[in-house]
Amino acid sequence: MSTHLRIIWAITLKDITDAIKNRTILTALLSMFFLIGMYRVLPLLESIGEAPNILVYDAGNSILVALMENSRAFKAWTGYQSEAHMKEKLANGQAPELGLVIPADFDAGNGTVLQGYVLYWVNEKDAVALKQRVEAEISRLAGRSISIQLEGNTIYMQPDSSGFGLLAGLGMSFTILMIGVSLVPNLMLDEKQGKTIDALLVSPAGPVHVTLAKALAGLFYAAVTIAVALALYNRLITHGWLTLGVMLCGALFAVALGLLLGSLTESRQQLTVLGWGVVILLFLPMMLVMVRNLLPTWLYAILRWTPSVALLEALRISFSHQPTFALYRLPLALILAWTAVLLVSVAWRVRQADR
Amino acid sequence: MNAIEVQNLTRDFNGLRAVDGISFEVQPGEVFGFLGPNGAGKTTTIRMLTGQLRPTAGTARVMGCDVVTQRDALKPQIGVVFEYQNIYERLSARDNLLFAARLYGVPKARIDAVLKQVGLDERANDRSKNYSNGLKQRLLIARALLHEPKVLFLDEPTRGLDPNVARDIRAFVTDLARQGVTVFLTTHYMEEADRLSDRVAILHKGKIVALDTPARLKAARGGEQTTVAFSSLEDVFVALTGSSLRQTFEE
Repeated sequence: MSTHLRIIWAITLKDITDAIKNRTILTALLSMFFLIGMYRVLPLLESIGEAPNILVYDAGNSILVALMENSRAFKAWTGYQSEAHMKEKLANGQAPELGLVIPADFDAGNGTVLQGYVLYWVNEKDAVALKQRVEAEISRLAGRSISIQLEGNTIYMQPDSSGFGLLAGLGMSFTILMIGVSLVPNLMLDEKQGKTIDALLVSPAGPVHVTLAKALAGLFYAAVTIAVALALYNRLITHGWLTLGVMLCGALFAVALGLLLGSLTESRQQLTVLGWGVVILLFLPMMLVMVRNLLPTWLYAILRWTPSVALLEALRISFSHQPTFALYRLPLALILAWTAVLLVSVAWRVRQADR
Repeated sequence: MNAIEVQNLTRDFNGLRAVDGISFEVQPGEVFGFLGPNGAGKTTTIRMLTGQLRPTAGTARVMGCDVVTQRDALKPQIGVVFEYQNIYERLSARDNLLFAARLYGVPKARIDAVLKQVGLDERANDRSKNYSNGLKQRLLIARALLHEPKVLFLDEPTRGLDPNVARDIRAFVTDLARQGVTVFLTTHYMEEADRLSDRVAILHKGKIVALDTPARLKAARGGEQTTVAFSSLEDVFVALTGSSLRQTFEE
């Protein structure tokens, strides 16, 4: 056993140290970091210089709402049927936004303290700045001093919330899957193209050692990327262990996919062609799921069975307030089942290629 | 015990017979030259003897280990220098050897010894991508010797090297044989095979058409056509395979 572990570790260690000098791997890794960072900052960059969104639920028929709609200090969104409806929409926010409830008797001069809501991932400084800005503007519009109560009014995402949670889920899924499609097969191709695989196979290492070592190296790269993702999205994550678990399951799937691609291809050209096919098969369902409301029910039911959509859904569930096991068991089971299918295929390929 | 024992070894590729029922033995400490034109089956034979390729029929044992059923026991006993320079070019010679040492479970102290043995100690920390062909070949030999194998397979070890490096490598092979290492050598250079090999097998179309010491092969009469002894191993080769070495090499 210790001999097998020593051999696997030797190959893994070589791959990890070699990566530091390997431009292909380094470029791929840096691209992943850039991608995941871009998904993180793009929504925030978009909102710079823009008036903040205020989602207003008007319980009565307040004149203030009409005045707010014409204000330049913020962009007021109105017309919600209930407070719950407003909160549901607020949970879809991409940038710091404020939800506000105007009580039914506001115009009668009651209600100098309004209930305001912000998403849990908005940092305190931004929340206070937003609150003060809105307080100042609605005090001016109403002609009397109004304050907004935020304490205890935090809004959490739901498993099907869009906005920042969806973007983060997409960014994380995309990055993890790209490790599988681009990095891991390159580890195998490098050995094939340099014919170092022949030297490996006359050493005590066998095809199984090589495959497991490449999987470990792939998991190492995935772990680095996951660490970066968790650091960048730390405010979004409410159940750290669950998000980590989902990402690791995703990484296992990605690595298994990468091993299969690596075992099926003999050149970078082949990998590019096959890789792009796989990218389309993985990412198209995720893109379609983003417009879920426009899809026929049967198509959505099919898309949910694809591993990429399962990963995206599991991540979004992990960001939600109360991710029960009943919610995430199906997507996680799907990811693991796909992983098992891929690993069996890899084992079959390795066995077939072994002499 | 023979270092290598081969009985009726055969390998087919898609219905084509690359190696056709060859049999031979190699004694421990012997330098065994394995010659033949391109496509004769030399590399296929080496791949079978080193456990990379499963024979279609026949058996082969290296240091008593069956190459099919006892691969795990076989691998630590053999070292292979491939006909291509398959090193990790982004790594230095030392890192290449460190990796090999970890694979074989060899103490790190052995790395310096081997680097010195092959004359790579001064460039050990340079990226091997920047090495000349000669230095790369030394690194390949160092890697093959790191775990002190009993049998060393050398596939065209001096091909494309400048004469000085080729001479060093030949001297190296002679030294190894003196130390008791069995050397299985394929080469296109008949003079090299003549000088280094204790015995030579000539392979043609997958079959061994001659197997003896270079001296005896040269002394052998060319059948009914000629009654004079061959002046060189190249003459023997041409007579037996029907192709000139220059033609074979250029192929």
